[in-house]
Amino acid sequence: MKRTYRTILGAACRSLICLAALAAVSLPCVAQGASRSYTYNSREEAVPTAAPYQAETVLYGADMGADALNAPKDMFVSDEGEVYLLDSGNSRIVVLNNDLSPARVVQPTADGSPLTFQEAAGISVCSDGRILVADRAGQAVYILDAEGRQIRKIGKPEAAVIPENFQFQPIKVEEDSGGILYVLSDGSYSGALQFEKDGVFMGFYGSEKVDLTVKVLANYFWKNLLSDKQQEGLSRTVPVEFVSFCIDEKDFIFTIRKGNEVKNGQVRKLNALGENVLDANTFGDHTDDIQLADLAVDDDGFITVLDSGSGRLFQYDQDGGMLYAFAGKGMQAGTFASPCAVENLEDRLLVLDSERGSLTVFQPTDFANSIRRATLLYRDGKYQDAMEPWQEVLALDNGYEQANLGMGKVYEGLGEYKTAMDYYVRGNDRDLYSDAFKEYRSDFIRQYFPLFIMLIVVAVVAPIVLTAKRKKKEVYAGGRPKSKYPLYCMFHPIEGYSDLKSEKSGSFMMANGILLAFLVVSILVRQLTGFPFNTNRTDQFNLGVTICSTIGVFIAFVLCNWAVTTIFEGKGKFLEIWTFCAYALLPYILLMIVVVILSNVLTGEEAAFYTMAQGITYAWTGLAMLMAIREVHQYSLSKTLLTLLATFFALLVVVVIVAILYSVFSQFISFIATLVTEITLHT
Amino acid sequence: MRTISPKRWLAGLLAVVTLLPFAVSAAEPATDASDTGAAVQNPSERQEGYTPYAAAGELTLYINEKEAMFAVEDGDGRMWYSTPPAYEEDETAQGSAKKRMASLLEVSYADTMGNINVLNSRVASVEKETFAVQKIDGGARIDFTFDKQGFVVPLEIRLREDGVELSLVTEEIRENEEKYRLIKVGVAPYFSAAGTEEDGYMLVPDGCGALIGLQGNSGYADDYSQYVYGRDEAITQLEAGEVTEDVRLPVFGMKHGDSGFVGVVTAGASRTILNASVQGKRCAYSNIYAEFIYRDTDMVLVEKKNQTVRIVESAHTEEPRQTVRYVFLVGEDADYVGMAEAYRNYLLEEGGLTPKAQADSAPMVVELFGGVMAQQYVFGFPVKRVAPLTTFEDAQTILDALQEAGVDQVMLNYTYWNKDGTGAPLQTSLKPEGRLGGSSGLKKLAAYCKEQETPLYLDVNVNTMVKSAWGYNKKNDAAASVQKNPAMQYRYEFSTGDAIVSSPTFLLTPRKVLGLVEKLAGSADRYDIAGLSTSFLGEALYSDFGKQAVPRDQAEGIWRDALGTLAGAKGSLLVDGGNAYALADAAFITGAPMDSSRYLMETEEVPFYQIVLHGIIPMSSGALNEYGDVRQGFLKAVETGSSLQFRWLAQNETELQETPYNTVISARYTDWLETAAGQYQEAAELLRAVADQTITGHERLFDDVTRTTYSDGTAVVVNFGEQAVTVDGAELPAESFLVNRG
Repeated sequence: MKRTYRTILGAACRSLICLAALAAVSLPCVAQGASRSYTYNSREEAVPTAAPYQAETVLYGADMGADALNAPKDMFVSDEGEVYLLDSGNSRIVVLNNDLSPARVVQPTADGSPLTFQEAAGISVCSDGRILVADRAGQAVYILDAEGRQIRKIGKPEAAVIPENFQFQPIKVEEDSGGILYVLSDGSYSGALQFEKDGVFMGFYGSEKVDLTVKVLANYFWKNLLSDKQQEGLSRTVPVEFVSFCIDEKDFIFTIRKGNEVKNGQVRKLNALGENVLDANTFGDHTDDIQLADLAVDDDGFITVLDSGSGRLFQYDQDGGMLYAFAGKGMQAGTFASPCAVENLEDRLLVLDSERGSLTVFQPTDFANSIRRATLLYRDGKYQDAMEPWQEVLALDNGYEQANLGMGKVYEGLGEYKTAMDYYVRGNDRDLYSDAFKEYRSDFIRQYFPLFIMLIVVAVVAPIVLTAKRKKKEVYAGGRPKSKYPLYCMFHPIEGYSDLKSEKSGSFMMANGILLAFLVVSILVRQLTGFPFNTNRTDQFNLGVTICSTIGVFIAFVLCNWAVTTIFEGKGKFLEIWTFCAYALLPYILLMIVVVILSNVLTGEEAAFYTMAQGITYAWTGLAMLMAIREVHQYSLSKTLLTLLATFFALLVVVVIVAILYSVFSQFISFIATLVTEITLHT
Repeated sequence: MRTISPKRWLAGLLAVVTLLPFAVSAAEPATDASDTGAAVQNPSERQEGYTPYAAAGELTLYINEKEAMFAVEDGDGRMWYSTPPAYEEDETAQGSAKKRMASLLEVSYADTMGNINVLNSRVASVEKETFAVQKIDGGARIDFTFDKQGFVVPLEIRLREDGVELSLVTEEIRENEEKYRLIKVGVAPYFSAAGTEEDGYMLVPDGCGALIGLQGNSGYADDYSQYVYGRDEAITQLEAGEVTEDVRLPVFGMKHGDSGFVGVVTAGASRTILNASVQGKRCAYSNIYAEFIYRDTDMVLVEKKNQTVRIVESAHTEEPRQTVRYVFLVGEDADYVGMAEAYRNYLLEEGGLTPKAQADSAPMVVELFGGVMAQQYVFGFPVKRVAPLTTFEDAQTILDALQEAGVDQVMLNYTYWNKDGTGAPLQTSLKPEGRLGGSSGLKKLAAYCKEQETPLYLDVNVNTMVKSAWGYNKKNDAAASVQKNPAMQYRYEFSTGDAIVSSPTFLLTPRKVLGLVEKLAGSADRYDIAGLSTSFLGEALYSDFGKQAVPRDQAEGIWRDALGTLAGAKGSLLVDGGNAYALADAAFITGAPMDSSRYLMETEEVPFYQIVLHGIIPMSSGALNEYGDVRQGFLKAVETGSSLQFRWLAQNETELQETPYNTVISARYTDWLETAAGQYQEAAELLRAVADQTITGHERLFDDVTRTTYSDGTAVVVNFGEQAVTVDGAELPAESFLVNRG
């Protein structure tokens, strides 16, 4: 039933509920076109974009000077810009002119008699006008002349490298500029088959190595131990199969895999050696259920990928960086029932729908045109020239990350680093931000150089003066005021905690104050750490989680420690442990403030200083905690470490118990909810 | 009623038969004989059994008492049949498809298991002879009894001077509720259906309007079916629907040969589905008709059993009758402009619509986005508060900037100006958000607008509940779904289309809407503004399926009252979307539909909505900065003389990204000011000149070129294409328009 929410018109679905689903979401947006367009941003979230393409027209057989197409499976745009549609069900080829007007219908023949394809799946046209057709069930590749007369038929090749049980099921075929034929055979894991011009088999090309995973290793291990019979029970690990490919002007071969078995790198760009030169990004939707079916690469190198499952089109730049996704399934212009092939026709996109026998023509909007223009300029390093198109993109889509980065480059080039930094934050790129910030900082320092010198002088002189004055006071005879202990313990952990214990000068109130400060500083660390070092989602802050992960952990730790140490003859009472541990957090609180400040003035390149400061903080805090625990229980060092270990173990147990309770509780809640629904439904 | 004696009728018939050949040749000498020839046949000639029942003006109503069919004849002998007279010879139609053509009713009902079955009156009633025809004032009433299912469904057929009216007498429907429940009733599905050879189209009110050519769309032959006023939002939708336009006007039409009709749903429009199909699939006739919803149903997923169960409401429509009126059109009037005119006349005479368009007035409509409720950070600490997108001061800056750019007529529609911005639960009084400038800021802006003669409208929300408010609990006072839970309104994942169930919003039950509106209207005097604005009431209509159910037809009545109250508060009301029930109270319609859904069976898009209303109610396009192609949007506005509309904000646009309003991505006014002012300069003269003129003609000259003619003779030719064209000897560059003053 779920499906019917989607398809709403038509005979199959004329019940009320379907009609009720007619309207779009009630969001305040005037969307042109029949689908919502979106892109995945750098945080892997799908976010809306402006409409990149718009369905210009939908053509059926009647518009192509032929009767209805019957299950067309593939198409090809020739070098002259003619569109060849493989009308598989009718065993013919319908040709359209560059302006999509009907050109001719090619009826394939062999020796004068009509040639009938069994299951034609792929077509391409060579530069000299020869037509190549891959017939899957016919187990053959046909080479036809421009009038459709068969020149040659290539069947299953005979060669030593071909396994005995190899099934020759050609689904796609194409010729490169050197006249070498590449044939993709369904179910073949060895890559494409290469043929010479005269049909002689050359070998396999571009086969992909099996990714070395634990599963592969395990299989390898078992295979050596088990008998053949037993081996059949093992799941076979094979390279995933290709569904389509295309060859660009420079003879790079782009291949595409269906995609649901692999999470990324579904599209590959292979050079003459069969090596992939494209980033292994995720192509298609970032979900498990994808069925990539075809791809097209235009003259500028932009890659369009078609998902026949969702009916969506995805466009990528030359490096496989995602631009946008659009279209989908439906009954409106610009949506499909069963799309099977995509091609570029100059700046237009053509999509073939095999169920409807239709050809949908998409035209790029200003948005897509600007993105493409800007991307090309940006790639050439012409950042300033790209400013205008990027501005056009941002007017239509303020949040488009690549455009924000492009604008950042523009302003960085102009020396306006602060503006550049703002754009880089919007584009969410830490490296570029760091670069701009470095320039900004050196500008800043240059500007305020005298002031800095003065500050440094003060920083050096002041401590000397202050310590000289203080030295006289440093004779201790007990009775230090309570309020001085936290700081004293920080700088004198051994004496401090020892005195604290013997004089019983710990203040519970002060401990709680420190805890509060701990919480505040933790939040500051999460939210205010400089952009290059902060991987937290500062816009998704949850106070509850933060409290749990700071105060909550503290309470659990103290509780566990108390429980453990009562067994191990610890001298510390619960409140004492609480107070001591809280005091031990002071180094963290004070030093972390420095770390946060550092993170805002350092760039990504200077991360070492930042990490070092962080290290000092943790070490100091750890040491303070160790001393606090040791003194509060009057333990030896080894016993302290032992009880700490036990404490952490107890902490682990507590966490596990809490997790179990949580899941039981939520199951209980959902059980009650179901019960309530059922009761209300039945009454 | 004047009954016609058989003698006189026979005489009339003789006269018609003898004059027939002359009439045909005189009327349309060049037309193919098969076109008009079939249409002008007298029923008694072709078909036995048609008895005259009523006459009005030039029209005569015949009833086939034996087969429960009817036909109407006009003074020229043109016939409008409820069933195509030659239906039995149709070779495309098989079995039940043929019977369906001979039916006046098509009934859907649910059995106890929740299965939906479809029955037609031919098979279940006429052939079993369980129907009764009786003469009533102005026509006939036929009571169809569906014996096996226990339904009695009465249908009244009344002749009018301009056509015929079919009423389902819903208050007298009887059923055996224990066993079978009536779901919906299609009325005269093949009324005036068009045969294979005929030339013409069907008009569907999909968004701005669209035509379905009778020859189908190059072989694509799925059916058209749309719910009047869009889906019922109280029926929860767990997966994203398609991005479609809603039906705003309950009108449809058919043109074939030199005649046609326009069908207007005059009662029960909010519970109506419009259906159309093109010849060749089920039978050799293209048909379009209204289907009335008697009961609502919904599918519910029972998670434990992992199966869906259909729930059928026990309550049914409260409307006493659901009526569709067919107005006949002949000759030059038989086209979509004629249909629009007939509907416009109906609205002016019976729909409570009064002309409000004023000469020389075509303001640019600027919709401002006030504040969004977003998670913000003060020294890194999260605070949920309003991020100001357009403060009252910003609004003034924008007005100044527009004036400087030469835009001399502006109308401001301020949305989310209220306390808590988008996070406001409901509005019980006019209370501005402090972070936008507060009460004093708003007063200052209102005074400034007054001085500049810029009408300022404040948008109010009386429907959407983001959270509970005092006196309005988001769960208890929410409209309930068929499952009897609060009907949750979701956003959807882009990739999967699944509902994001974590943060739903709710809709206030229609029961409480009027009370809230009255409260709100009471506080309207606080600010000296031009009027209030509603972006919801004119755009969507929902039921409440809870214990105190409010069916959609009743909700429509409440909406009318609410719109009246809002309009009365300040004397002027801005309505977004513009569903038919909102027209009477709207002083201005913003966001009038610019597009159809472009369903594949549709062959052409026509600005039917604008043709009906232009010159009567001032209208503006949707926000052009959010329309994919701003130039195309502009040309669409020019095509129908609609005011230009933009939606803008002044600052902080990134704050929208993590909110439900993340689709607002192109609204920075600084990006658009220049374009907007340029477009305004380009079109202002034309838009002002035709502001109070109705559209009397609209035609497509080429694929991408249209011509609109106004009542004062002004003609506007718009070239949407990318190539220059020559029209009437004048060169028209790509994407431009020219004006011919009559």
